[in-house]
Amino acid sequence: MPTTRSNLSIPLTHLARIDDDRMETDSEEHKRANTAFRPLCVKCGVFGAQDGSGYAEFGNTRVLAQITGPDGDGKWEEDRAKITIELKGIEDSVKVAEYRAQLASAVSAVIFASKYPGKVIEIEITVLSDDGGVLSTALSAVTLAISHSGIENMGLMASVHVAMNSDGECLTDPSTSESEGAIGGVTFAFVPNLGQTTCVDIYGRIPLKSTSSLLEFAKQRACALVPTIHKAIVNSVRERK
Amino acid sequence: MTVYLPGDVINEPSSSDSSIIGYGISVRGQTRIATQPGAFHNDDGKVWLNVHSKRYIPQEGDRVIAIVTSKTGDFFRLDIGTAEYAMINFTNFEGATKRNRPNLKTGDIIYATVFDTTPRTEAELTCVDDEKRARGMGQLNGGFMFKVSLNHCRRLINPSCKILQTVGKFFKFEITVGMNGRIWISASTSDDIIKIHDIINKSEFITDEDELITLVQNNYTRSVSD
Repeated sequence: MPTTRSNLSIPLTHLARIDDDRMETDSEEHKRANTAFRPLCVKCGVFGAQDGSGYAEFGNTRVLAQITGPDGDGKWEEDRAKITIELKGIEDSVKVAEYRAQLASAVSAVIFASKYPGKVIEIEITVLSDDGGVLSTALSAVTLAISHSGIENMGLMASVHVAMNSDGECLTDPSTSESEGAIGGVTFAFVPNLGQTTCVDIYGRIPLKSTSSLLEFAKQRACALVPTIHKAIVNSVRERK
Repeated sequence: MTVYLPGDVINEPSSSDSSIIGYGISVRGQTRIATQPGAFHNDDGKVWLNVHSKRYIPQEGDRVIAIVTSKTGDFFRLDIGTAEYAMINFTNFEGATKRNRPNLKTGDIIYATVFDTTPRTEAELTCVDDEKRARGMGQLNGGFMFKVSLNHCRRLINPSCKILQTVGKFFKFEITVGMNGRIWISASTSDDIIKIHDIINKSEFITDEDELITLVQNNYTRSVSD
């Protein structure tokens, strides 16, 4: 039987979709705290051949990001780098356009584009499975890929997806089934060392008076994710030192 | 060893009085901020981060291994692993004159220094120093060229690195290490070249000296056909 050779350093079985039955049950023992994330896995440097790559997994949402560049482009002659985003694995073309715009905006805010004039940085994002919070997972994967690529940047992005229930309660990183009772939510990305917000994608019918508390909660949860991302990057640096 | 991540402020006491700021560090006002993830190094008035990267960005003074891709007028176009091709004038070789031009063909490998990296233009290389001497630069004949990470190249060039010294105890070979992640090796037999190539590739993640000696010994005794 022919085998497919891959330079992926995560076992491919781990990337296959596994439907997590625990999330579907209502039993008390499996219920998460509102501030707790789903089981997560982040890895900086997944592919050997790519300029930069990162992998992020939050519950059953799994995203792989790859970076090629900075590369030359005869047509692009601006005094800063052109950042292109290619998103695969999402069928809804409207969602793809929305996510691409958000990702391009967030990435442009952290990369020193002026250091690569006339160059093109291509970011390819592959959504392996979607169980809620794709945009925040993609932002985490892209952050790891940028760090792995050695492209100069201003800081690391920490991103989180938070949903709000009708009673005003916030839930961190909800899965698709957990989001069913939500009136809306936000994908929030934050660069802690700059104190800069790079992405705020609010959806649903959230009362105006609840918006500030939702964003404050999202910011706290994003900051709680920073040590995990730091650890993944430090481990990859230590491996290669 | 301190690892800094992008956005971290570098508060090392030794870094404040250093005059030369190197790779991976940016200056904003009086503060020094990491722009790439890497291990902090401080040596002889220089500070830098040892950054792992596969994509080479040319910097003046770097010695690189280049591949000739074409000839246009008085210039040779060279691939040095950057986004654009680099250029070298035929007069930038030792002993070259209008009549005595270097005989370079497409695919030839040369060892050169980057001397002009003006933004938005192609990098320009030279194979001579200020005194018009080659000092080891020029065409590399025969041998075998391969690519490793930029981090590993910088490590091999470092005088304190024991890898090449250890390999030299077992093999007789020539090596040229370019800052653009390319390494050229030449040895008496192709078997030796293959073994040295394997040792250099595997040694990237080895820091222990005993482990390194074991690796070299194992490669020295093994048959290439294995």
